[in-house]
Amino acid sequence: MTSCRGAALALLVATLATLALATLPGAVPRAEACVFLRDPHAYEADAARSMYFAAMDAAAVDALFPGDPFFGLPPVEAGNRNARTPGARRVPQSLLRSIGWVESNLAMAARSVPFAATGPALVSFDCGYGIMQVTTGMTVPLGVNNQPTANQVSVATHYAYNIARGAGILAEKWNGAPELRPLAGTDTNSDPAIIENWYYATWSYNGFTGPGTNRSNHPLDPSFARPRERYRCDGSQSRTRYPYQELVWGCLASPPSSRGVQLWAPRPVSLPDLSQPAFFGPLALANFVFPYAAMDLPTPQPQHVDPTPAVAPDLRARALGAPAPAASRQSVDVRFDTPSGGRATIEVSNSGSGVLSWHAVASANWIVVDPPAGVALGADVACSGCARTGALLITVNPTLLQRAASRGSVTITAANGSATPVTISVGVEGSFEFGAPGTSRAY
Amino acid sequence: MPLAQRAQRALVPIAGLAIAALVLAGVVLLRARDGGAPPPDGATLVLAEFGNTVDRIVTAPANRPDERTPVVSVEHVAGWGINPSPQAAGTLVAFTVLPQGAMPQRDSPAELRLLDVATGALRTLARDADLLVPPLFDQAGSALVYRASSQGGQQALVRVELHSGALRVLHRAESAFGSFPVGFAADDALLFASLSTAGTDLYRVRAGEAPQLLLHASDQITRDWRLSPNGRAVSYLEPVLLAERVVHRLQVLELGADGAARPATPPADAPTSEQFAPVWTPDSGAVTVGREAYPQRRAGAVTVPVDGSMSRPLAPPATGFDAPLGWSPDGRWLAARSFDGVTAHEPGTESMVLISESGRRFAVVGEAELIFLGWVHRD
Repeated sequence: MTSCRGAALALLVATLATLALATLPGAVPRAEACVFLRDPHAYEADAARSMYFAAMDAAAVDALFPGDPFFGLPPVEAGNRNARTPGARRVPQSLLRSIGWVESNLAMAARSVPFAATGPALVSFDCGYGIMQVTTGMTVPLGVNNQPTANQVSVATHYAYNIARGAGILAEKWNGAPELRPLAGTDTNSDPAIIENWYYATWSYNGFTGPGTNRSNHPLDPSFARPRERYRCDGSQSRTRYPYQELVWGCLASPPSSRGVQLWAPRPVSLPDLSQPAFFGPLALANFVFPYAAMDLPTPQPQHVDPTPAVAPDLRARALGAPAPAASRQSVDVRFDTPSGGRATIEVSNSGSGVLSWHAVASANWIVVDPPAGVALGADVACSGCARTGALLITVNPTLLQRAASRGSVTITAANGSATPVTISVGVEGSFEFGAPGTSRAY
Repeated sequence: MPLAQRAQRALVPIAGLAIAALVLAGVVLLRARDGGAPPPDGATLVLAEFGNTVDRIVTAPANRPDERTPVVSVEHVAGWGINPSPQAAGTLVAFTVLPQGAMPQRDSPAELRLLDVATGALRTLARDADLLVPPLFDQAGSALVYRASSQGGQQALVRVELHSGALRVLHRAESAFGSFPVGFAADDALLFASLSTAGTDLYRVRAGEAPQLLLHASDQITRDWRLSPNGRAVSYLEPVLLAERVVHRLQVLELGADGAARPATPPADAPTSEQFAPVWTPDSGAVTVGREAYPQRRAGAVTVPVDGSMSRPLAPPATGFDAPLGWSPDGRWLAARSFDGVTAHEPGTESMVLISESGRRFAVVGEAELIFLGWVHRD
């Protein structure tokens, strides 16, 4: 009788657990596998995006992660075709702001997450993460045991890393010329300080696609109305009518507002005048052939340059801090005969400073962690009534248990910083016996 | 009282009445010209008011475009509005849209939807459409063609029967560029323009047959292809070098009974400046095309007859220029986008206007972008 009741209970728990796992908020079907099966959590900073802009200013001059092979800014090449040489590590910060707005409305977390708070990260269906919607390297786990790497965790959860990676990708798009892409600025030595010379690099950030394709960004594509007024970036115009780079140019010149305040000073930038043969000719169909050598453009005039941003000396300390993970419990015992059957929650906290990007890895497949990565805020991080800790839900999948009584662990690692990982022992006691058709194990 | 004096006194009220009648008649006449009364043919404008996540499709009488009747609201991915067919068919309009939940990207599979503005009935005909390529109706308004792309660069031009919803691929090709449906010719063959490194070619194709090259239209990217209402001619814009500027010029092709396409002879006074958005008059006798204002301050659209007779200018804006959208079925109203700049490169602010055949202009006011879906005829 006891055994029968236990079996029924266990079957119910198993069914509920399976259903719960299938319906967790992060369990959204995607076009292709992203690095995280469930959405990680991220920190959304202030509404004015002051922290994001400070990080962009720093990333624009490689002051955020100098020397870091993944998050550092590569040297940006300058010079015309056949005379291109590595130059300063520098991208226009205004371009980063505008791209960030076009990509994500400058949001690191999902729309449901308030400012100065934490919550599910912003993840697009094509595995674009965060402010800069970084997709490169975010489609498959690249770490050991098919786990996300620390870099992938940081890009998905921490605004500074996300911005730095976006800046790096933009620089890589620029450096794609002349081998892979055309260059702009044939009459200005393709000077990367000139914002207009980033026309092709910006186009490439979204995809260097030709006229007539379904993701075309070609300015002469018949799909885009001609003439078309400039994109105003105020939500009153459909994006359907514009190539990507014109969206970015439009937001540069007409900054979006947050709570009635423009997010940056208007930065007028010039588009290629397509009535001029010097611009129209290179964009001709015959020239849209890899490596696009005949597509090089002069600089659209008048040209504009960003001033060198002033990066506060303590910016790195404020943006990155010295995070250190801690957990509310060192050990959890999961039971199935309680109201929270099969589950336990621990709070991941940051005993250091800054934003901790943590990553939870289970030692066994019967332990499921959700979210797989998240953030915890140091006392120095703005947090208006939000939880500074990150709740980590540990769920036991009974159908994958090898034995009724099992023990494993969850290791919480700081993706940013060098703090010592925290390991949580996870035990499960299944004092029941049952055999249920359709389950993978019988006890 | 002398007779003359009595007659004079009697004439005063008569004259007053006559003057009043004249004034009244004048007012009525003027109001009619100004569009103060509904046109007898019931031309009705269909447009969408863009919203960040919802486009509101409305109808409005041509002479009172601010008196809008909501038809349906269409939810879409934030920022990405509907992309309509350039013309309606009867009371039907069609558009592509990224439904909510789709990836907010231009290459996400879009839905092809059909709306009957008379009933508000909205149907989804396909879920694999290319957002950027507007669908087109056939001559009878019984079918649509849309474009679908699949990974690997393969594009298909697909015919949808509106009654049954049946789909049939008319043409499929792999390309790094693209094919754009132009319309169904009088013999129901699909015309489409195809881009390649060689430029733009015009093809015709029937279901189950190989496409037939009609014409190499240009070495460049041509645009704004429009089939005449009778299906016997095609207009488009071709970029040409003129006085050290690249300008788009109207071209017209006559489609022969043998399937051949021959360039029509333009009238001697056809405009030579940069031109925009040609549209056919309802009788298929002329093409109305916008003109760049530069070097002047303003330029109205002009209607260019295909028989070579003199062109007819339309009322220009106070400053700037117009880009036509479409004539009402009765040929009395032209919907157009109006710009207050003078060139395509610096077009200034855009708005929608209705230009009457008689030379009046009516602003179609909107707080956000207005998307033209066509004209319908409502009795």
